[in-house]
Amino acid sequence: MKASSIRNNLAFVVYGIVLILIWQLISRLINESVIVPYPLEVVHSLSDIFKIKQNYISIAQTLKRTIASFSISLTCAVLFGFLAYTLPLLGKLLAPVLYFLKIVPVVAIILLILIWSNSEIAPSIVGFLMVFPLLYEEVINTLSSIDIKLLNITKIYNVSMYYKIKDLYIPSIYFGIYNIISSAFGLVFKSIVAGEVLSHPKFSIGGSIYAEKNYLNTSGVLAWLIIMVTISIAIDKIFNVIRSDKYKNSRY
Amino acid sequence: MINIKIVDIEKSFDQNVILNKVNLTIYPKKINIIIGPSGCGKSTLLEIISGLDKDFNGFIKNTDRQKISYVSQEHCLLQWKSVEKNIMYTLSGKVDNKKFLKYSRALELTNYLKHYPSQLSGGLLQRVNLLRAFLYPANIILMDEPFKSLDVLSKEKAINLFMEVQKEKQLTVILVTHNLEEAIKLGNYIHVLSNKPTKKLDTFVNPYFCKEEYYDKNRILFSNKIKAIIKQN
Repeated sequence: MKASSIRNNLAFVVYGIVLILIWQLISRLINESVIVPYPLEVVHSLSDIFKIKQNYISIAQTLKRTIASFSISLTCAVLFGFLAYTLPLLGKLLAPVLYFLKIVPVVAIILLILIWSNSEIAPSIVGFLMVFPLLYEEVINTLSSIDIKLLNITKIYNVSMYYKIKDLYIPSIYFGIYNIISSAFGLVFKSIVAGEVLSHPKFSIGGSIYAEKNYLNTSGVLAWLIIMVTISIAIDKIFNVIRSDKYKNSRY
Repeated sequence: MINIKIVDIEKSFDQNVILNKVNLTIYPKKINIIIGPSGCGKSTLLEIISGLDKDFNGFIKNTDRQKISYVSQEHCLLQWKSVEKNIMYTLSGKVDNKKFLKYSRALELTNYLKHYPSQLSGGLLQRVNLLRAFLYPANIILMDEPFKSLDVLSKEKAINLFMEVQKEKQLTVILVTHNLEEAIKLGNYIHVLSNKPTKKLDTFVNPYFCKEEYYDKNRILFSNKIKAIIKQN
């Protein structure tokens, strides 16, 4: 390990310890577990969560919803983005819908979806609606910014649509959206948990947070938040590893 | 195949007139050189002929349904694909393997086929550009200063291959250059353009096509005549 990397890790640990000490200090000053629980109480809640088998199912279900919702969003964004790029009229038709999704608060959308669908599927729809506009716009921007000289060569040599899609459009989209893909995945995850808090499906992280809140178990809520943060960091790391590998192979 | 007629081509950028009623006759299956001072709009004229630039007045006759390949000054390769894959892309996978190997060897590219564009020098990229254009089954080839960035040895090999391919495929070539010696060596016909606003000054049938007698008195006189016409305008 490089010296700079050791220094960074050390700084991170020190920073974490300082934050926990501040947290401990605030808890002591307030001295009310319902408002600010002690760090140790949160650790106990965390270990309690891991003792119950159903909580593993909840985590797995939320992740399943996140992956499904993200995959559908990505596929639709690429498909509709490409269609809107080639048929500008479709882009114009989609623009008001996307604008609506961007300006309307998340909670309002969640409530509407809860009215229209059931609690099991609602969080996934919320995740889709939150991230689809983001990915769609990025796909359009990426395709619109393809070097005109590359497009000219494609036109001159009359490159077939199959090769254009395979070798020009898909790689361009890939390089264009990869920088936002991990934050988009994080956004789906957060939106789905928010949707679960309101719709509380049978097994879900959001439903469990809602239950802890009902029992005024603040340390339980914080323990679930720690689980969420850990999952988000792990996902981010996985995306970074995939990205660095892919970039290495493409030499782009 | 009949002559390509470039008729009354006018092109302006903002209010700056670049091409001012340019009229040219491009002779089929021959090497047509367009020569003129730097910045006179030679490359713009090529873009118009290729169909990439449609914003102009005038018209071009007899290029419809012709297959065109284009050697531009910029390589325009996919950065995420190797040289080999870039060629496959341009030709939509329909590559004549025999010719591919032959031309790559002639252009000394065989060791670079697996390389990515970012790993190649300007001269190598230009050779890839030439390879791509020669492999494409075209009737017309447009070339914009095609040998400019090549070193002396590579240039000689590239020119030899170019002549061979032109003869073999009976290509109509429109080659833009501002190098008069290159024009006299390579062209069957030399079309001379003026300074901006550009118009055609003259067209010469080149009696010194493919001849190496650089110090021939008449050749020097011919060269001086073209130089004088360009200078006067």
